[in-house]
Amino acid sequence: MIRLSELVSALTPAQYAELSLVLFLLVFAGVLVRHGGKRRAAEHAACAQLPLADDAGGPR
Amino acid sequence: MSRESVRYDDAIVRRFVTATIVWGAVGMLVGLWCALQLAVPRLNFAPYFTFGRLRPLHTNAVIFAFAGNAIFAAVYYSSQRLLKARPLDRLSAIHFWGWQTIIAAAAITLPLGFTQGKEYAELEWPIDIAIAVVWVTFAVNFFAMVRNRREQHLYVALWFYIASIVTVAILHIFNNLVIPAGLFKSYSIYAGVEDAFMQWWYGHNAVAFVLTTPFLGLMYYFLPKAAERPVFSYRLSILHFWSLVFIYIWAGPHHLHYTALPQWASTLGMLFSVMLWMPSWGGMINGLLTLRGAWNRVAEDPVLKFFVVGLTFYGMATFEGPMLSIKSVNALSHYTDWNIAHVHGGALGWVGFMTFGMIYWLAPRLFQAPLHSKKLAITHFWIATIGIVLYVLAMWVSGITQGLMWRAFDDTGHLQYPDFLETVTRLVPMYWVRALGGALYITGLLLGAYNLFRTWQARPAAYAETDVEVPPMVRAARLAARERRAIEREAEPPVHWHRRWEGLPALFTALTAVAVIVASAFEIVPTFLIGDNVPRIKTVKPYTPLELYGRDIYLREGCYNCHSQMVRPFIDETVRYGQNGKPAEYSKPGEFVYDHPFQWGSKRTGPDLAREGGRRDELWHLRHLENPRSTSMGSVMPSYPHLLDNDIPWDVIQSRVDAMAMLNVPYDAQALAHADTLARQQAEQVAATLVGNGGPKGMAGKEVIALIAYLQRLGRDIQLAQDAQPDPKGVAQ
Repeated sequence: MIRLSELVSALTPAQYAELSLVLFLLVFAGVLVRHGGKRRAAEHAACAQLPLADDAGGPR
Repeated sequence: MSRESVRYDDAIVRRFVTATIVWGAVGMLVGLWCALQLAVPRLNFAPYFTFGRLRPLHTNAVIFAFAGNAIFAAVYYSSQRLLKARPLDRLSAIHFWGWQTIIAAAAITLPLGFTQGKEYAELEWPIDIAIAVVWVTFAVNFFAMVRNRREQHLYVALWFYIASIVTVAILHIFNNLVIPAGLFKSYSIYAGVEDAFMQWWYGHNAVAFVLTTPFLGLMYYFLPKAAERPVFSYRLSILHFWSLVFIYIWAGPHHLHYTALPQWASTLGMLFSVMLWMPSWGGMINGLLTLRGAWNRVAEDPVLKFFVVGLTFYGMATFEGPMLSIKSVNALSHYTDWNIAHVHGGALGWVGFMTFGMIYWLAPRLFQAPLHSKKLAITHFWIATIGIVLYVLAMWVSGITQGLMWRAFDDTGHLQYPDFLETVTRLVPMYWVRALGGALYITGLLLGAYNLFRTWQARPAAYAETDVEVPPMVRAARLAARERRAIEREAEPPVHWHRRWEGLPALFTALTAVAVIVASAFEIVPTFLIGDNVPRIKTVKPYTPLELYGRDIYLREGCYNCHSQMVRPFIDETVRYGQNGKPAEYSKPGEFVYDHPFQWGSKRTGPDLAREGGRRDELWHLRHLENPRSTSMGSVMPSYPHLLDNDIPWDVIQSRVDAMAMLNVPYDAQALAHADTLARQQAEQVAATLVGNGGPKGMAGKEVIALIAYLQRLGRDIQLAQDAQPDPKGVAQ
């Protein structure tokens, strides 16, 4: 059975670093695609109001 | 839609606010005392109140007691209102009293010298277990609120809280895995390079997920409240969140540039640290632009003053941090006071000012009385601001001065300042300015405490508690909709996938945890599993039982707070730490394979000790430890006369060797059976050498002998390798 250390050693440390950078860029692109457009402007504006509306009906 | 009511628990917020102020004053006063000790060494009172034992108390108190209690106050106040749910009273009480007990335990055990010897993770294993239990209690209480919430959407502040709760738990558990060798003594399961990697994965992310993300959550809630307008860009806050969560976790290795850490890890840490600049400034700009149209109020409102300057310091610290992570800058700044300047810009400016801003905004609401004095609050603001500026400027000057002095060569090619002490005494005037800055900051805090006390005195006889009308629980509404569907076979009104996704806290929490765990795994797993990362050196052997006990004394006295054990591959360092006119070998990863925990340090108030063995004789060490000024005029090191009086507790040595053996340190059969006998034999030899040097007799059973044995061992093994193989390149292979 292949050992975990052998499996991990299939890549060099530098390749892990490169892979991690690619991974980060993909996640960043995903977040941008999801939230970057104007489609959700109204929804974002509503969310931004939440702290200001949170005491509605409260003592102060 | 039917309406229900909920009564928010402000009593728990009042408790945490009070604890914030009390522990803040304690932690900062200890910090001021430490600052004065560096200018006036007579202020060290051995054995309990020396710099090495008090500095961990200062850092732990400020991070986990001052900032920790402030975070809990912010979370309990804002989460109740954002989720429209009340926490579980019993869990809140356990959380509060459990956390204060832990802080009290830290305040007692650290001066007693009980320490794991890792920065910001000094507390010993029983207290670590208590921290884990109380943190889980907090997490259960928080997620109970999330489960019982009446608001579908989780506001971005809650995202930051969730990331903090999840990540701190992961960091705390993995960095504190130890093998106990007694009730208050343990050894890290990691050694050398791996321990360094884990420690700064933890250490840097403690900055990220204790001192940054919870305070960003605080900022995204309390700043809009104080400015009475929504956050400038909710979209930017989302980008801010995901970028920070994903990038921060990779940045830890920038604390280990030019050490024995593999180059790839160091470069990775630098790259991600520089990338952090963008989301951090995005967050700062988002905060400052929230004040659009309200800047006129900043002139009069102490709350907004604190928030604006706090955000400005966030911007400064998150610019300076990436800059310091660049290797060429780090080569100058590392081990100097520049790091101290950076840390305090963030801690006093960002964490402190956001906390004070929040507390001044909360005070009238919590105590149900007007703030006693707005003028006093503004005085607090100005005194504290001047204090920070003095503090940070002094440490910038001190750090850059010392870094340049270390690397200066004269025209003849010799070190311009070969005596390390000269590079310390030159800084003492800056230490006085630092102490003045700190004193001003604390004066401001005490004025704030008085202001809050007077506000509290004006409270009503009984706090008014009003039931707040809220919609039904989201969970109940979902169940009802599901039942309706089953009965009427009608589809639930379509919910946008994005709303549904963000309304699922379990999924959101899991994704945050995945981001943290994946990033950590990419960084940590190769370090642990690729054997080539730590080439073994044949001549490197385990510490003898006596040296091991001596090393425990080194940890107990907190020597790592001022001394590094890491000769970086710079010509000025190999020359400075060389012997007999020969440059020293720079430190290699294979030298530290038996170092549980590693002791590379992060600051050189004293010289590096990695090549200390054999540089001086035993008598010099004894006199130096008894009174450093007797051998090194102008030294700021504390005196340790108790080491000459304390007897070595021979009976604990075997258990410590056994604990190390459990960590695969290859002790032979004799050490595993008779460690105390071996220790006694070596102690007799060291004591005899001491007498031969002209030193006092009868020291063989004293702790100073064990510490001298350890100090004389440092760097000897690599020297043997060098002697055995003339080609220095072969040593590292």
